[in-house]
Amino acid sequence: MRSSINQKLVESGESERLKDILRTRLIECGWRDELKAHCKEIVKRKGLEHVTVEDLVAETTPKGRALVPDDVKKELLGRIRTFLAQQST
Amino acid sequence: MHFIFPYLTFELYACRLKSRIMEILPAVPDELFSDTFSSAALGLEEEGSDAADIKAAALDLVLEDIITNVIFGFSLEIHRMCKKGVLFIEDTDTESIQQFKIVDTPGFDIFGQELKKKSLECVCPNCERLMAASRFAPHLEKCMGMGRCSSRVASRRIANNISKQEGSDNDSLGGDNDIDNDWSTGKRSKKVKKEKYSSSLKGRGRPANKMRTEAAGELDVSTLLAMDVEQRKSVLMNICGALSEPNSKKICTRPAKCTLHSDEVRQLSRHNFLVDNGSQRVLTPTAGCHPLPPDDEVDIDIDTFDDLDSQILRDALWEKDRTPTASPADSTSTVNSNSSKKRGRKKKSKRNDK
Repeated sequence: MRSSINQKLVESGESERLKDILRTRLIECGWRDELKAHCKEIVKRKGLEHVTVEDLVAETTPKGRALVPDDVKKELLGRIRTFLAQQST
Repeated sequence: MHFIFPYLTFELYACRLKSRIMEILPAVPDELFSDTFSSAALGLEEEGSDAADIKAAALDLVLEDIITNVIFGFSLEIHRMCKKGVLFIEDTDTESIQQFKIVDTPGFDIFGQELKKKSLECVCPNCERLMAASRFAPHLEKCMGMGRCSSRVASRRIANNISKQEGSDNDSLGGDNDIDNDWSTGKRSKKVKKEKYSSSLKGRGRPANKMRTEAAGELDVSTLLAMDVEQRKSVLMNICGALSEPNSKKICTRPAKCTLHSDEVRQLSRHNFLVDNGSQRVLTPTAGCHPLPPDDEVDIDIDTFDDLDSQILRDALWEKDRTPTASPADSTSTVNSNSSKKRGRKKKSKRNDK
């Protein structure tokens, strides 16, 4: 079911739209700045030369997930639901 | 192509990484999802759950996918900034933050400077006057006489300028030509003198012009008399030179072809200033009837040229070649000497009258 929903979202381009909305919402609520500061700390700790993308992703993903505000999540869920409702009708 | 290429490589790199990270990620989400979406995960595992629950769980997972994607993109962005060295570019020390702090108090601009009206002024390139910036464009239009109905002042001024320029051109070019013509018809025996005169006249051309432009239509006789003969001549070359009124002490300074005064009057006054050294003799109309040559220089030469000399020269010429094939040069010389002699006599008679 998850994969079928994903497929629908990607095929219709809705997934990109949702990502855009999410990005703007995260910038608006200061999530991005917060996470950027966190990343800076990581980079300072590891040294500019030794930072890898894998490290960054592994360190930012849990924190990023936790920091996403609930209302942003709710908005996105609502959007997905309405999209699916439109698709099914 | 060079612009696209880095972008493409970056995209390819991102895709490759994404696939690698997606291999890593399944280990991460299990723990994470267990906290945040425990109910959904449980709902999926429960056999007797409703279809709505399953759907909700699926939606949560889809949302998580989207969020993960965005975070992944953000991480790539940060990494990119890190490698390009722009990650810490906006970090500043406290001093500069204090220095460039945006001021938000009324009455000041954002740099903390007081709001006061600056008087912006421009210098008009035409008349070099200071002009408020807001008035500059209209002024320039008028000053330069652009536009359909430019002001009368501007058009008049332009007309004046043009006439002046043309006048000076004529003086500088045509004036010299005139001199040459005069001299070519004059005495050949005075070549050295002629060259000296013409060079001196060329040299004095500009001061004379200046004087003419400066004088407001009339020139006082006394100023003219204060100069020596050559200076007077250079002045009179460029102006009418006639006395404005018969008994006044003003000279007309209009161009040489002035319509107000006749050639006769001009000749008289020239004669007066150059030959008789400005003596205030009453010039009788009969004097104007003399067949004077049109220009003053010739007068001078004839006057300095002694009558005796001319007589001797003429006699010598007559004696030398009595042949009918007399050269034209000889004939002219005789004519000139004749006229000069005649004139000289008349002048003498005038002086005697006085």
